[in-house]
Amino acid sequence: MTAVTAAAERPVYFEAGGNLLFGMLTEPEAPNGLGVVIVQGGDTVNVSLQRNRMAVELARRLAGEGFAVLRFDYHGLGESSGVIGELRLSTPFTEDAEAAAACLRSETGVDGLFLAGACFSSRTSLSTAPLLDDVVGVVMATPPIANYERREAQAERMARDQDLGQYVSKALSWETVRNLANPRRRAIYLRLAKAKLTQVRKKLASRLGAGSGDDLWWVSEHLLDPLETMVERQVPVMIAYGVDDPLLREFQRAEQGRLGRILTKGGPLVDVRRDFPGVIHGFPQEPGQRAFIDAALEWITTRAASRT
Amino acid sequence: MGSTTRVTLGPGFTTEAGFHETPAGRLFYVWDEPDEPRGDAVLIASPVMSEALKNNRREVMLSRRLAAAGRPTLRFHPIGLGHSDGVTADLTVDSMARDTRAAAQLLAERSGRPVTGVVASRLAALSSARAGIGAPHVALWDPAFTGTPYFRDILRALLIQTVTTGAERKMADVLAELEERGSVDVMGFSIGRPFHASAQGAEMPEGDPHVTACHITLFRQSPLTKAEQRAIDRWIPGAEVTSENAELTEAWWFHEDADVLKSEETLGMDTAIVEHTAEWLMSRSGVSA
Repeated sequence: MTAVTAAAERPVYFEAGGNLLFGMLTEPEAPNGLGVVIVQGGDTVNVSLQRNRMAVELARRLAGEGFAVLRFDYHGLGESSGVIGELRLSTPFTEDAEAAAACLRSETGVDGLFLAGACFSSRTSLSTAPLLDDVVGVVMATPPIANYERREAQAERMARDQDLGQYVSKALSWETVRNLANPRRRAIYLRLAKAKLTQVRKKLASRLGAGSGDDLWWVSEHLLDPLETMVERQVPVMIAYGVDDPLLREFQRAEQGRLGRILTKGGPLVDVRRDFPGVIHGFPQEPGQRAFIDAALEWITTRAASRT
Repeated sequence: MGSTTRVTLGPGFTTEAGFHETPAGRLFYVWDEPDEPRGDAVLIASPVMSEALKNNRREVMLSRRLAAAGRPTLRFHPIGLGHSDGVTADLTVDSMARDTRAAAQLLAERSGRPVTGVVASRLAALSSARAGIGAPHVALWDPAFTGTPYFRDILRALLIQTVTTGAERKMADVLAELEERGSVDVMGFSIGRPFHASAQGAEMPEGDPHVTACHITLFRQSPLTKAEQRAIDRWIPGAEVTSENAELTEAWWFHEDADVLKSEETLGMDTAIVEHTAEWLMSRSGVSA
């Protein structure tokens, strides 16, 4: 089937958490009864279009295959109302995505929904999925594994990757002592020290039985819990990384723990694809964009066909 | 299928989002209509690709701000970009100018008021000037007055990126790829050969008699360059021209932390740009901001 054009589209606004969110609804000529919510990109600029109009192309091609599709702007972004603050992985915008799903359902009458998102929005998609009775699949591009935020990432990675001895050695180095006179440097050192202390505390808690029981305290339960729920509910999930994505390395480390156990339990239900060209986090290159759109389209249409 | 939707997103205005049929395809637009119009209409012409995404929320804020103060304001996505019809490969500076004319006509028809204000950013400064819609008051955000250096800078950004990834390239390689493949991938945005070619040598129209005042906001710390000043003098000799430097500096083609963390500081800078531009436009129309 061929992609539809803007002639099959109409703008919609829907309420979410006291804001009016903007969405673009793409309707198929021959509906298959299923819908796809494309959750906006992983930052504050990529809105419902996404880089290089990826969301527009995916929506129009999905509609060509019979799916009703809604792409939308989070509150405070794009054409939506409200004010946005920081994107925090521990608090994805599930209220927005849940309202988008309700809008797509009420506007088109679909009775099964796929959710698709990238980076922060992949976590929003996964966290929203357990809240929906009619979710039939989740597509996640480059989901972050940890919960740390942008400004905390370096400190938390360092805390994870370097032991206490290395910290003490660095703290006592002449360069560090000299830099303590610089207020900016001092603030950075404080952040690094706090991250290490937090890590030590979590590690101890984990060993004393209060945590996951393994050494992967940094893997987010906000990722693991909904993923496990999807497996238990027999809802298929696609997870995508580029071969050069740094986030893939974290995913592979996380597979040593509970994530690995969930993947084993899920078997073919959780389709992890690690072979997209280059980096697809943020989709900075066209080959990765093309490959991901083709793969997501094929994965969704195949899962939809297997349902019928 | 009905293709327009109207909602109230703030006090004093109603927002209509929809598609406008043009010979080139369906043009996506958002019209902020004041409940009590108190001035002529303002058209906001968006930049393209990465620049459009980064500028989007500022344009939305400005449009709502102007409409709340009584100015009918319309934004649109050129054919081949955003939610509009078409493919990006067909985009040219001339197609952007054509769509700007269509949007201005739609705004004048829908609002029943002449379009006397234009706000244009980056390359839209060039394309909207070439559209010749005759608005006397023009506010420009970090404008590109000539096409050749605009694309040279974008392709330089690509070269900088390739250095950071270890896949160093030269400008000649990029231009050869553009020629052979028909497009070049700049930070994940596809720049087509027709677009690049259409901008080569493109300048602001000479001696535009309609523009009487122009306010320029530069998203950088340095003042207008001599080349920019010459382009302005050629375009609108005799017009009142003012410029200011925004506190915000924008790396238009690079992904930054500010794209993830919309801090209060960044939001404050965006708000300041919007407020200054709104006040300037309102003062020109004699309407209190």
